[in-house]
Amino acid sequence: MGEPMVSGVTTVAAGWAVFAAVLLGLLALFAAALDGVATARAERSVAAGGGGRPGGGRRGLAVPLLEAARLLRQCRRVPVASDVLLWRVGVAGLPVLALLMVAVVPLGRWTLFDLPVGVVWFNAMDVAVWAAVWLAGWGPNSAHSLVGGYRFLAYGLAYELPLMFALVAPAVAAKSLRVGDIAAAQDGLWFAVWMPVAFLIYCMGALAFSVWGPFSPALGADVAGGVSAELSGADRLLLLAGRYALLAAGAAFAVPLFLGGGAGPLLPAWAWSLLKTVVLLAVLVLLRRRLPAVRPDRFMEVGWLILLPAALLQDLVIALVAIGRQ
Amino acid sequence: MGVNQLLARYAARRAHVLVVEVPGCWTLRVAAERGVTDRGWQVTGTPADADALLVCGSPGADLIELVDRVWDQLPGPRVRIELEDIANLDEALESAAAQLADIDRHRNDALTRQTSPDPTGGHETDEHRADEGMDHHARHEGMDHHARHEGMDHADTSHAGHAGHAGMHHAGMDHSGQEIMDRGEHSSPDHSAPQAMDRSGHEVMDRSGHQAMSHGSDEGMDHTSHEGMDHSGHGGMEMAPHGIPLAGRGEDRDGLEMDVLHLALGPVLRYWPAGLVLTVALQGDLVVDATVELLEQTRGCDDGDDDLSAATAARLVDHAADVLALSGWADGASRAARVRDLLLDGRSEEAELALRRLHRRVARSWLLRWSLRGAGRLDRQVLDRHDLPAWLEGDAYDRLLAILDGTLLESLQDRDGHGAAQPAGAATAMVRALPRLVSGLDLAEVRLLVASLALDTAAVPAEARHG
Amino acid sequence: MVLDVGFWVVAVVAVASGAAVFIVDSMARATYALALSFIAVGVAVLMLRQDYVGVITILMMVMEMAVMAVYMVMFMGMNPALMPMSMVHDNRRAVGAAVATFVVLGAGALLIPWPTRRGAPPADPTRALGEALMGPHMLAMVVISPVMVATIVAGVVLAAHRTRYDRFGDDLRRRPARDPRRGGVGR
Repeated sequence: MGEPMVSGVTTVAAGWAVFAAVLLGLLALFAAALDGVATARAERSVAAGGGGRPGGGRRGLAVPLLEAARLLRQCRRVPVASDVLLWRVGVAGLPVLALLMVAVVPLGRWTLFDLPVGVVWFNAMDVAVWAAVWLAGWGPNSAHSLVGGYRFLAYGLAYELPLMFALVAPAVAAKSLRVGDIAAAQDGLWFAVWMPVAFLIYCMGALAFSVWGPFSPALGADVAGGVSAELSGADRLLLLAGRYALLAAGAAFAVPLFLGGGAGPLLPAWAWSLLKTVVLLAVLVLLRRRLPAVRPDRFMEVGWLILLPAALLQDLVIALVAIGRQ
Repeated sequence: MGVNQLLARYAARRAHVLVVEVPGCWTLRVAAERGVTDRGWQVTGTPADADALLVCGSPGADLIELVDRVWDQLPGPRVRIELEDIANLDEALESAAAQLADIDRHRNDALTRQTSPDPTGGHETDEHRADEGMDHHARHEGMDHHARHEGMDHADTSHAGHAGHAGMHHAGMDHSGQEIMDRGEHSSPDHSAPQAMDRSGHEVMDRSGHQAMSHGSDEGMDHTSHEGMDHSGHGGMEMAPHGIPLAGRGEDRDGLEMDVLHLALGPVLRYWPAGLVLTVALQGDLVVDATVELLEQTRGCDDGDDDLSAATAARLVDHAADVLALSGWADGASRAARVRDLLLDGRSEEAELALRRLHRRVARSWLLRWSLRGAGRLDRQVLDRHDLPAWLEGDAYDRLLAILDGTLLESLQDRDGHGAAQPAGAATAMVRALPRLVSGLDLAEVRLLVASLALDTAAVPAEARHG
Repeated sequence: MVLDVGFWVVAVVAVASGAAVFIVDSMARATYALALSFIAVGVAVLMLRQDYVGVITILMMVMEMAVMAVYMVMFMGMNPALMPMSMVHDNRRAVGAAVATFVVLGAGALLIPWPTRRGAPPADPTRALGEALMGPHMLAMVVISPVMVATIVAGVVLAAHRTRYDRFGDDLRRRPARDPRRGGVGR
């Protein structure tokens, strides 16, 4: 869309989508490797005096590649009476949605899709994750998968509204729904600093739509893997990769929205965008092992009675400040 | 070919292993899990994800049958390891790794393996690696985490009887459907009876005939939609698609009418007591009814020649690890497993220190407390009624702390005679009380409750197993 | 040119997946066929440069269908994953009504003398939409919103099995409330 841009963001040719996909894949790989290292560290053998076996850390680093090799080699398994079409749509939906999310995220000065309502677009994609996860749980016709799918919807009902109102705050402050404008509006002061509640709720939402960490009971050990219980081979690989990609997309979108976009000293804008994304992604990844699961039946009330009012109050404050500045 | 070998070699470095613990083989199972993680492999909880099936101990006849069915569900390439002695562990894992990397072997396995029933006749199978010859890799029924429906084994007869009644198009059972039914029958030994099927069959037919299906309704047959049905690949509107009859119904807690599914928890289930089979009737993820069964204990493999008090402590901490893993706190579970391993290795001072640190972290974690608070709560009256030990009072979090703070261990150490973590009476009472305890809880709570009981199924004497 | 082709593609997808709702034989498929139809409509609106309306259509409809699938499955009672079932009933009258509606709307679209465009589209349709809603049409919004919220609340209250007397006791003093399941904020 060759419109005159207000935000200093240039739209690049559609062919760059391939580059965006590769970049997203690399970020997902980074997330998976980091999680592999953290897991290898935590599960290191006691035999070697607490230091782990030689090469323990390296082993963790290679985990995503070894897992990919393993799953590419494994056969796909289809349970009796499963709805294969819906199942595959759900599983493949996750990486696709992650890619659609990053389409509106500017990398420094460049963006793939400079949509005037980029924030709403991102929100629409994260809502579509509801559908994808539920379908992935519904498809295999297995009780544990189904429980997992429904658990995710229960989370969705609890986290989505606070997340929506958290996304409203930067848009109100920047007086625009265009992602590039929001990044540009943070000259000097990051939105994360003066709207911390919205930022924290956003990070929680990013964890939730990635079915990650405290929000992973949809894939929980107590339901034999939940949504992933019947997945094998390439299907499982897609689901796992999709999760990491969603987490990466969530981190990437936080950068223009709350962390000042590509602004920063010395380095070029694209490098800052990438650096901030990687740092936030690393924090989100490392949270997984440290926090217990937030049970969906417990979280429902927290979402509606604490997070939603908190997000609304944050929006009110931001709106008052925005009016006062005029 | 080169790519294949490369993939196989990398894949064999990261095998996922489904570990089956034969009742009484706890030590062996823990050693096996340690061996697996030390290789950089991973223990997994579902057959769909497993490359290797590792059976610890020599299973009895009923467990063998279940293990065979789980074996059928491994997608392949797959390796089966029967481990009866700790001494053979390294050798067994080494040979498993070699077998996993062997391409020809898996090609043959895929060609010759008994394929599970493929009732739809569809060829939505396996767009996978033709070079490995696995294009006929089949559909499996997911055994222990699969929805099973009431009265499975009676589907054929009761439907034949009622097919005309509601004007249903009855396609009849094909051979493969029959096969599933047989399999279903075995996997839930004492599930509900023909009456249940009768009721649900009638109910569903009558209601649906008027609600949604144009077939049975007063307007008569609609030919266009009928044709559409026949092309659906399901063989039309039979009442028992794929030989799996429809779910029955019952009133749920909120006064709504809901489907009732039957699901067997265990015995091949991670973080679950060995040999315990809890068949639950589910409405949504809420357990409304349950029956319990313990599998035969064959010749035990934990002979108890090692340090008994250390082994008892290690077992308790292992239960704590289960609770922490089920609560989703991965780091906590890893820490508990480390304490367990230190205890088993006889490094008691380090273990003591690590245990105290873990206890402190658990006691301080408000998120864990918030998440587990109220889960599987047992109050004094319930404990008295079922003759359960007093330390179980409270919720899963209280029990987790009791396991970790050492008081429970002290109380057990006075009377440890056979190295079991529990006196036989307490274990028997727990198993007997389970169906009553889990009714009304959701699946997550059931798992937390069972893990937090620190139940040692091997302590239940043989004469109490069926009664 | 590309935009024209794309528009027609999504238009066909919207109609075809809308029709699929009645052809498929499972609840889940019917629901998500409808979701796909709405997504295609949303994309079409997006192509008409009504960015906000287009994206919000996708957002709301996907969310709605995700929840609706749960209700469809819940209310139909039978296990719809296994049970192929027809998605049509009272077919003859339904087809009649559909054809009649199509003829009326189609005739209207073809026969009405459409007015020619006066003025130019606003530079930023989203802003124009917001200003219209929050300006001249504020009254309508102020009336509609509370009515909708009241409808939702009333619907839930009427459908709920338990009343506040079940929860808080006859004198409404019991704390915490007696619920089958405790909530997450200590109630």
